Amino acid sequence: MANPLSFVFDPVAAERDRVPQRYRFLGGQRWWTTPLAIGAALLVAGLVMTLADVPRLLFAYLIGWTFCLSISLGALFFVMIHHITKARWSTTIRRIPEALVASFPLLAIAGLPVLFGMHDLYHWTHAELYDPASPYYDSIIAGKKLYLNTPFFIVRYVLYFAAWTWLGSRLWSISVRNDARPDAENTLRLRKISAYGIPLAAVTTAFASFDYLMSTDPHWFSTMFGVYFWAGGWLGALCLITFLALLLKKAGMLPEVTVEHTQDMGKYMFAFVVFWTYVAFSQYMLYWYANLPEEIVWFHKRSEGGWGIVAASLLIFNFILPFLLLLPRVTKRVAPALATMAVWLLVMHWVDLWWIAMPSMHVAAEASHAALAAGGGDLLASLQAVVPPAEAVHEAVEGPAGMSLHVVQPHLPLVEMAIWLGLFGLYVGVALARLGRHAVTPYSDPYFAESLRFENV
Amino acid sequence: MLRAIRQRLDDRANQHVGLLAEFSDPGALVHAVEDLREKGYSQLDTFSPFPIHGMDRAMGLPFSKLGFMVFGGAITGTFLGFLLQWWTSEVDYAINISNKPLFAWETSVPIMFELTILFAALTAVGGMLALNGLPKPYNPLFNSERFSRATDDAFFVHVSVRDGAFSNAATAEDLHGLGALSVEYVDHEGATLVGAAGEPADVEPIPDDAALPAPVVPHHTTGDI
Repeated sequence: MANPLSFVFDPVAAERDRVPQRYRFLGGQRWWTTPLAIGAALLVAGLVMTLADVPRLLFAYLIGWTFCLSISLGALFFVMIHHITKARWSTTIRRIPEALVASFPLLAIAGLPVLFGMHDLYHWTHAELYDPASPYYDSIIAGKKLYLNTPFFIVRYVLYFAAWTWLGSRLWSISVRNDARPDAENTLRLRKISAYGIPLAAVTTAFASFDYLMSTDPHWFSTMFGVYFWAGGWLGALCLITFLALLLKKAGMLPEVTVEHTQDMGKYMFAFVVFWTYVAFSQYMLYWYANLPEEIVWFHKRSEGGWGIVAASLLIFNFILPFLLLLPRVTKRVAPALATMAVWLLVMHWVDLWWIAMPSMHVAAEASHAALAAGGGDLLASLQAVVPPAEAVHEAVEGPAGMSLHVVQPHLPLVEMAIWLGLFGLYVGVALARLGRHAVTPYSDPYFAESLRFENV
Repeated sequence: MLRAIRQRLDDRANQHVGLLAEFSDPGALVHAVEDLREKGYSQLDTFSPFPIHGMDRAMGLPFSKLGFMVFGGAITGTFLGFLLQWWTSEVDYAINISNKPLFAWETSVPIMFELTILFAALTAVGGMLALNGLPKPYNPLFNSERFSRATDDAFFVHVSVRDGAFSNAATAEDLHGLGALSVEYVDHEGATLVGAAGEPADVEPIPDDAALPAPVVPHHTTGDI
């Protein structure tokens, strides 16, 4: 603990050699050097390819970063819910999500480009929107100034990560220290942390999703967005936990995680495929039904042209097919099938975030840049061409219609995927390196024996 | 046709004619079933107050057909929900509201979802009852006094007379050998206690107020199930 940087990576000193052979990580260094190297290479390649287009680079980075963040948040809820409900079945697999929740300090550092790129990512950071004398004055955004302003955004960033780092490092370090020095008191401490941690993480997760994703389109609002983001993150976390567990088992480690445990992870995945769809559809149907211009514009943009195809593919590949494939028992009990579903759903989680964030890019970048370049007249002229003049005046003052005209079709997101996989490679590499320093399963946990006996009826 | 139905009902009624053995706890019951299957018995049935982990495997029960039936019911519900919405709003009672489209899939999803759940649930309950042959107002096992405790604290295994390996004497001996607390021959007439050699056991009636020995807890009782 001499080096303060070690806290950022892993607050607990490595105890690899003291771990009994059976519970030791036997994979060797290449388990983390490989994802780290691939991640770094892809990240650099993605950066080089998009240097000419900084907003696109920043949006791609935002999507990749929120992807990793949502998975760590999902893992945080996984660990806390299992502590608070005194779950026994999941004890043998618990060390994997614990390794993911210790990543919050590094995610906070990885999020700095988002803070530095705020001006390109978030339209509401433009000062002229709040100036009634300016031709770009936007009364809707000006009305949200109390919440959407740069200093408060940074304060919230610090608060969120302080809360998550606190919860994550406590859950990780108490559990890991319990291996060598078992004490029933530790289980109670973990339960107490979870008791206040769940509401704390729930509120911070919802507001973080408003800040980082929803405010890329600052006119729009959805009170359900936090749940939507959480549902995707939780599903992503389940998939990554399952995939890593199957990978470790394939390499001969973690025999304590049996097919019964992975089958339950498969059931979890199935349930949260349905939950994600339920939340996504509920959000959609309310806006579709009301069909109010300032609300429907978000979905309008995301169902036009190419984005409509992405939306349809979310319905098919993130609900209908995984639902039917995960339904039979055999998919959940055969390791390669379950691993395939985990990777599939992780990719679809990224597509979901891409579909949420990327269409906003042209709100933030294009609307302002184009308007500035044309001296502001361009926006108004294009508005007047499609709507009656009386309404155009109203829309220009109030409405988002000017922005909905600037939707750019989605392109093949190879660069975005490179940056996403780059960040994800680093994220997984760090988590595996952290896991490798300790036992791969909490073998001293009081519920460990009971978890070993777990069986599906 | 009538004869076939009659035959089926008779078969069902006769299924539980045979030897009924009581065991002390779930673990003993699972072991008894495993051993009986090793000895070649196949027409076995077990009765316990609660589901027992591993009993399906011990009895060698085949993959349940219920899941497929529920899936069929669910798909039917989805389709009927869609049909209901489309038929009522587009065909049978079309109302033009502000010239909006008469039918939209978005508004139909909640109905489709609800009918999916309704039909899946009804198929699950109805299919479970049908596959179990329930309701069954008469069962020869009701002739056994002990059997009334099957819903409370007793664990039974039943070997049917229709089992190819069944013989009253040998099967009774097998059951006693497995540690059965009691073995009864049950048919439509009544229940008789059977001793280890297959002969009716000579049992002294125990008076209600007699001091009974303390129950012995078998070594394989796990305590928490």
